[in-house]
Amino acid sequence: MQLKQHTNNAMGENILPLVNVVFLLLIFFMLAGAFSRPDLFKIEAPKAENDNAADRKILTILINTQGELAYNDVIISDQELKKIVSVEVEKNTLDALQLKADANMNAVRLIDLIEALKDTGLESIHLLTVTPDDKL
Amino acid sequence: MLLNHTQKRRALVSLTPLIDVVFILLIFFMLASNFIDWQFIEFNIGESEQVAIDYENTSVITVDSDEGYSLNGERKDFNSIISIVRERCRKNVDHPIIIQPNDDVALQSLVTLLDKINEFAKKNVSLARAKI
Repeated sequence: MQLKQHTNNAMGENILPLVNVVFLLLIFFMLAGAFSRPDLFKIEAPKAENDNAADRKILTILINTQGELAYNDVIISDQELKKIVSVEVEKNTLDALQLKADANMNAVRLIDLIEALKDTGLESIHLLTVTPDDKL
Repeated sequence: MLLNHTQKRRALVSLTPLIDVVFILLIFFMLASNFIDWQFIEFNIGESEQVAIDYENTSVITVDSDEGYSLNGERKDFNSIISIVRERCRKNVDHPIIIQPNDDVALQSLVTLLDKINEFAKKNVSLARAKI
């Protein structure tokens, strides 16, 4: 009887450090991880070593490998993008447009977009990149 | 006797369901969290205009489809192009640089080049369509 109780106690004491570590991990992921909705396209961003931190609050457009555009989970045409950007620029709510483009996209497509957006009054385009794995 | 009874009730509360829930929460937060650190390369489009290129005093870097690079029409390797252009920019702060990606060039090749050039030249870098 006494032996059994002793074993039970030992078991309870053994899992306590595990529970502590799991709690710490939970708190870490709750505080450090930022939630984000999954994007419409799976985008593999180009890698670059610059150090401009991206602002999450400005308008973000996704571009997949085929050069298709998406905004707010809807595929849009170049004309629709021009319309959206013009409206935002007129409302004075947009300083820059964020492009989340795939690294394998045709680079000439970027020039097409820049030319298309030239007469909307937009001042700058931010092309989103990620830090290369070997520089992390 | 009463004390004994309380001890018995405390022993009945098991930690296992709590640990189960905490594990499930942990897995949820691990999968839903996003640690990607986004950076950006800026393109100013407000002042862009169509002008004739003065090829004599401009570094025109062409990105070819096979991920090779040419400087003013001459095929060179990436590092020597960067060191030549860096030298030209050191002599003349306003030295214009034009980057022409050919058709079928992946965006990554262009970004690699822009990223390197942005280290020493922020202004006077423009993108242009390759001549057809």
